[in-house]
Amino acid sequence: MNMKFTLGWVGLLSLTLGWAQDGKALFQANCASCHAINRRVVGPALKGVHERWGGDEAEMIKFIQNSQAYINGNFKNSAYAKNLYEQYNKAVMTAFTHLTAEEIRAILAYIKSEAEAMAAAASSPGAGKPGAGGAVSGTPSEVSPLLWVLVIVLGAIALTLLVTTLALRRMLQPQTIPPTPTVWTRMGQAMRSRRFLALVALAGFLWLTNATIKKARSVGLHKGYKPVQPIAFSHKTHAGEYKIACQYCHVGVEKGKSATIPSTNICMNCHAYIQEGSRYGTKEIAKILESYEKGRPIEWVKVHNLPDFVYFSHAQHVKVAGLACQTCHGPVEEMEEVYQYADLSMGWCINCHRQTKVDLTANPYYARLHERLKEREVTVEKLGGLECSKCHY
Amino acid sequence: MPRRIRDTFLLLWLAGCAATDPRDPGIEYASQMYHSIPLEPYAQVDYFPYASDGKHLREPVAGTVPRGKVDFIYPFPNTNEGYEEAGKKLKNPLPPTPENVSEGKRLYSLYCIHCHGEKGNGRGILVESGKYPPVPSYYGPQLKDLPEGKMFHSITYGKNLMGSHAAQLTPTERWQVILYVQQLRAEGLAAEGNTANPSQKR
Repeated sequence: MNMKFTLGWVGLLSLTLGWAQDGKALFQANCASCHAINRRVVGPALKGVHERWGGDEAEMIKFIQNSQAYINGNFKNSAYAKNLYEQYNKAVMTAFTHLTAEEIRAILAYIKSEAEAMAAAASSPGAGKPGAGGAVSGTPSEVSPLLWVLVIVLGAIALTLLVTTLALRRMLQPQTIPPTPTVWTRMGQAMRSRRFLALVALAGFLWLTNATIKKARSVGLHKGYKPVQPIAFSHKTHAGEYKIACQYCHVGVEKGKSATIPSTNICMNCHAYIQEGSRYGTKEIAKILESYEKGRPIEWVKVHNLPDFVYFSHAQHVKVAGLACQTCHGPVEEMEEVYQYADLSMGWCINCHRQTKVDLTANPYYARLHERLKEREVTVEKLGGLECSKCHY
Repeated sequence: MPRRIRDTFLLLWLAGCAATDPRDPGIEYASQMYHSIPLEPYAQVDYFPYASDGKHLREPVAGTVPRGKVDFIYPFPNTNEGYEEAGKKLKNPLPPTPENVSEGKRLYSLYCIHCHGEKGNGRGILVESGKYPPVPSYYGPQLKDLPEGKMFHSITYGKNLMGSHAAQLTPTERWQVILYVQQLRAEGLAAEGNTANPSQKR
């Protein structure tokens, strides 16, 4: 008797558990792309759906199996369903004719248990708000160069003061017989010698000259430039961790001169749903949502600036030559903040143009060109024979 | 040596040891030659006085069609009726040649794979990571009979949580992607059939 009783309970428990399990899988496969339990996605949040429908599962099943027929028909909750449909911009819920009533009951049971579990988790004080406090705030602060200058200047002042006080103290002492020379005093003498000072001065001069030449050669080149962007966008997260292709956002890279900076609608393809980031919480993503709602473009700061006297086309390099983006832009998928990787100097361009072999076989342009060359009479002039610099150089 | 020249040299020499700030683009010689007077795309200007909204990158006029691209005008509206109509009337103008399918595959791996997955089963990297909700499989019960016109409509306007990809894919590219999606769906259905049949025999 007792045995039977427990067995019965175990059976019932496993049955409900099995149901909830099935319900979860079915929910994930059929509902989760448009519905969540406790937030609006495409359709309404499903928390409390039983209360809204008066607990009438039979009506809910009819609606789920064919929502349009239910809205336009004359059922118990048709008016409510029609109102809901209007409220959600007339987004048609797919007719789930392939789901049986039993399967829908399992899904509804899962929704109910999940909503209750979430409510319980929210009300218990310890478990509340996961992740809200866990977000790492801000970027690691960099010590400003001004501070370093200050430290060096103060250090220099302290050192001179120390040396002066020591010298003054020695002067105050009564003159005695000069002490016998030790290693230290000899070294001191050597360091005060003309020859040593000249050597130090020469080393300093060479170092400074080298630094000056380096600096002078970097005029007009912005290698290492890493401007502050209006949004703390991480290429490491997007291109590295989630392996989103560069072209997904930089759409123009195969089609035109500019690789293009994505417009906010492209951000919204994912961030309409993902509104909490892994690093900054909602703070940074909120800027995208604001830009989208107000129709105001995000003012990203351009990192790679070529001078006006150079023409460069992304399409020619990426689509025709088939270069990887990383060839010129470096490991962007590892960059938390984007910086200019190559110096983009003329020498750097020329070097690559000298070494890169043109594929004359796979590109049909050259096949056509060679055919056309065979048909025509080619004079020396046609091959550039009248260019001034052929003779005058 | 005149004093001024000597001072200039001395200054330049000292400038050599100035630290480089990654937030600063550095020095430009003859900046008039660096910055174009007519505005280039993505030139950094605070305000463009010749446009009422201050933006110098203009949007194309509504209905603008690139040369020779007549199919840029999409006749079906972004409504439920338009979706149904596109499903009935819209047909792929491209033949399923190997070139079109392989280009479709390449584009699919750039623009679709993150959510829809390598095999089109809706298990892309964003879904697997739990960041994004599950996406219906191409060969699941919801999409296995989806006509190509509805696919095109969905890429153009977006559908449910999926945003419009019209800014990223031209109409021709959309059709190439659809050719590859149809291939993925056929492969998925065939694989399911293969696994379903032995279990039925048992």
